[in-house]
This record gives sequence, C-alpha cells and structure tokens, in this order.
Amino acid sequence: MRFRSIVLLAIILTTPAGGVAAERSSDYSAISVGGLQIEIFSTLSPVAINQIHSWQIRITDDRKQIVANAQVSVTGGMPDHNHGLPTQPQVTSQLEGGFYVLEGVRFHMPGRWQIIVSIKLAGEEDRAIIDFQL
Amino acid sequence: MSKKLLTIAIVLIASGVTAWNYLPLPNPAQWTEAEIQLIDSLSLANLPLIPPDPSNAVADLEQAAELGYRLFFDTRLSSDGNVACATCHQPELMFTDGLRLSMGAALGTRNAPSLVGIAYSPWFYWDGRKDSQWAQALAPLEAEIEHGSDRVRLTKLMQTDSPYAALYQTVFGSLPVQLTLPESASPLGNRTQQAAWKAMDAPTRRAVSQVFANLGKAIAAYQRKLIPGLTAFDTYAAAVIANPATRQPDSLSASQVAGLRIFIGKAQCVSCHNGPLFTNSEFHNTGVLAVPGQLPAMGRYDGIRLAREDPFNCTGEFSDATASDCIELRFAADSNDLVGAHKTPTLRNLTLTAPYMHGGQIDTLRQVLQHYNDAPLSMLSHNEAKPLGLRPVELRQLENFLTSLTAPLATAKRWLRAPAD
Repeated sequence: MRFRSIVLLAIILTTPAGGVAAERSSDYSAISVGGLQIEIFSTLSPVAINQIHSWQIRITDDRKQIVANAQVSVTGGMPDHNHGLPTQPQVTSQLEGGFYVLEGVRFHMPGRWQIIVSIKLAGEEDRAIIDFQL
Repeated sequence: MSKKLLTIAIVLIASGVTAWNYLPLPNPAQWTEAEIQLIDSLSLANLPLIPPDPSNAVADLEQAAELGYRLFFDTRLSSDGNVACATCHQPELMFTDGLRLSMGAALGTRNAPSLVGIAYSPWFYWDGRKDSQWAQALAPLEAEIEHGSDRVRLTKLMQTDSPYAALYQTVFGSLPVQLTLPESASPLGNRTQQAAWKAMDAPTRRAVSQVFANLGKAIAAYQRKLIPGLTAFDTYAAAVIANPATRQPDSLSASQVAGLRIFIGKAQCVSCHNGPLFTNSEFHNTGVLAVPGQLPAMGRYDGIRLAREDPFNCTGEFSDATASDCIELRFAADSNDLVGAHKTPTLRNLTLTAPYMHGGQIDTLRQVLQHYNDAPLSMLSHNEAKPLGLRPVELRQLENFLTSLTAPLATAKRWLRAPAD
C-alpha cells in the first residue's frame, strides 16, 4: 500500500501539468548557449512536411526548474538551400507547466532544417540551435 | 607508328566521352529503405482527403459545385461574351491552355496553371496573392484583360437568368432582387465603373459584393472536384511498396525507373516537388528569366502583401471562417528571401501542360530540365537551386520518368465537358 502511494506520488511529481507533452518524450531537444534545456513537443509527431501545425516548447534550467514568463521566439530555415521557414511561427500563449505554444509551424522540404529558439528573460538573451533532418 | 597510337587514343577518348554522356548505367538491384519511403510519399495512394475550406461554407455542397460548373464554362460571365474560365483552363489540357501567356479579353501576363488538385494548396496564383480558391476565382471576372466583367453585371446575370437564379437560391438562400443597380460598377474597374460604385449606397454595395463572393465560392466548389488519377508511376510505387525487390514491372521502363532514382536522388527534384501532388505548394526562386517585355517579377514577396490586403481573404467580411481558422494567412512568411519566388507547380500531367513556368518562359520539358541542370543566376535575389551536373543520358531518363505522371483525372467525366444546355 505504501509502495503504491510512493509510485503514485512519483508519477504526480514527474508529470508536467497540462499540454500534449505530458505523456511522451520530446520530438527535439537542445541545450542553449546559456545552458538551458529546450524541449520541443510537436502536435504533429513525428514531424512531417507540408502540414501546418503547432509546437509546445518547454524550457528548464540546470536545476530542472521550469523557466516561465520568458520571451520566446523562433526562426530557422535550411542552411543548405539558403532560405528560411515558409511561415513565421509565433509563440501565442503559455500553458501551465511552462509550455510555450508555438503556432504556425510548417516545413516544406525534406532535408536538413535548423531552428533557432531565442529566449529573453530578465534582460538576458539566450539562444539554442536545433538541427534535424526531415 | 606514333600517328597510329594517337589515332587509337583519340578514338578511345571520344568513345569514352560518348559512352559517359549517353550510355545508361544499369539500375541497382533494389531500392534502399530511404528511397522506398520517398517513392511512397509521392504515391497518389497517400493523397489525403481534400482539406476543408472553412472560409467557404458551400465548398463541399453538390449543388454549389453544379452552379460553379455552369459558371466555369459560361462565356456570359465576360463583358464581350467570349471568355469563360474554361477559355484558359481547358479540361482536355488538364485545365491549362497550351499558351505561353493566357489570352482572355486581351493578352495576359501569366501562364495559366493547371487547376488539378489545386484545392490542396493554401495559396493561389503563381505569387500566392489569394488565400482561397473562391477569392482567386473572383479576380479574373473583374480583370480587364480576362473576363473584363464586374460584380454588378454578374449580379444582374444571376437575377435575370432563371436557371442561375434558382440554383443560386438553392445554394445560398435568397438572391437580392430589389436592388437598384447601375449598368456596370466595381471598386476595381475603370474610372466610370469606380464612380458608379461610389454612387451606390453601402448596403447595396455589400449585397452585390456578397453575390459576387458567392459566385467565387460556387466556382471553387466545382474546382474541388478536379482530382488527379492513378498514373503509371503510382502503379509502380504500389508494386515497390508491396515488394521492395521490384525493379521494373510493365508500368515503367528501365529508363523511367532510372529517372525516378535521379528525381528523388541526385537531382533532388523531390525537395520542392514532394508529396502525392509533386508540389509543396510553396514559393521558390529558381532563376527563371523574366517574362519577355516584363520586369522581373517580385513573386511571393508581393503576393503575401496583396493577400493580406485582399477584402476577400480568410479574415475578410465575406469569408465564412472564424479568425482562428485563418492560420495560413496569420503565420505566412513575408521575408526578403521570397523576392522572385513563385509557386511550385504540380508535376502530375505535365506532358499536357506546356509551356512551363509562371510566364510560359520555357517551351519543353527537356529545356526545363536543362534549366535546372544549369541553375543560372537569378535576375532578382538568388536562385535556390544549384547546378545538377546531370549527364545527357540522365536528363533523358529524368524526362522519361516525368512522362509517367500523366493519367486521366479521377473526376467524373460529366464535370469535364461544357454543360450541354
């Protein structure tokens, strides 16, 4: 009985509140220049080309604490083709549990993509580069 | 003796160069897993259901398609009675016209793109200046060089033609009949038409624009029925998916199979011509020369700005969408790298849709492939494509493969010929 309670407590403690991300591992992740952990949870998983969709971005610091209320923006493109994203995704809201909702994400070509997540918090600027293949 | 050796050397070198240029290499025994995935991604079997258009409440209504079908082939929609949508979008040419630049009431400035499968695209026109099929369908009706008509005349046609009036009322409810209308008026017309438009009161202007928007919605409902049919490539793709060891069933020749490998591999055509419609419906600058007599076009850079200003766009008063439905318009990019970028066209049925490019600048498929093999500098901004270095035999194989993408449409035949009455 006691064991069950501990298991239950452990599940509660390790499950982030809210968001599609709660039940699964991230689609992409990276460590920012300043040492923040950036995790991407896509509503379209696995990420596929030619479909507009949204992401949830979770940012945690080196003590695994959620970084909330930051100004988060995303740019990117295909370095090999010398062009940017076909859309201008924007963070439109912040959910409980530190998830930033990024709307308007689309990739239109297979190949190597690079996403730059910029984070502004308390006057400090930080950025992470996420590289992946579609 | 040395002369003989020299002759042999020259013959050997010449034979080597000729063989390199013109002799095909044998196809590998089997496709790789990555290649099979790409082939599968291009197969028509993976074409999803037609996406909904929240901005058009009648998009999937059969009677709206019927009305749109009649409008599409009707030359009475033009000021001189000679031009219909079908003038430049002819069913037998996969809804193109075979011309470099289209000819409506006068010579146009763009090549007529195929309408087949276009309902899957979020953007319309080569520069994407419209964000729905119905908003696109409206523009030619009032363009002086196309139909050259106007929304008041079209409203009057709906009021006075009883079959149209009946169909319109079935689809959209009431047709405003009590309006006092000038002979011709439009906010986009010539000076006289614009003055007549300004003289109309606001409720009348709105009622007329609503009828006009509805005609576009009906035409769009019809165009949503234009879906490509299964081609030799799709038959081949099905065989490869079922059995990866498949090399060459009857559906494709050895040369076409080699061309497919180049398409998804060395030439990277699949970068932009991807998915079951062989298009990403996005905008790219590929260094195509300006249309003769025209300045190089700004393409999507201007197109997205025009789409945002369009009173008939997804967020406009004539759209049936809620603001949250309009995500394409809301998040569309407008950056400098869209200067000179034009929409990737579908490659399905391309043997029937020459000439090619936004201004019909290139007459033949072979010349198109040569263009991409050379990847010339762009007149505006930069060419995203890089030279391919394909040998002549590879270009021929690629061309042969592309001919396997033509097939009769999946659309019922009755929609592909003008109404009998």
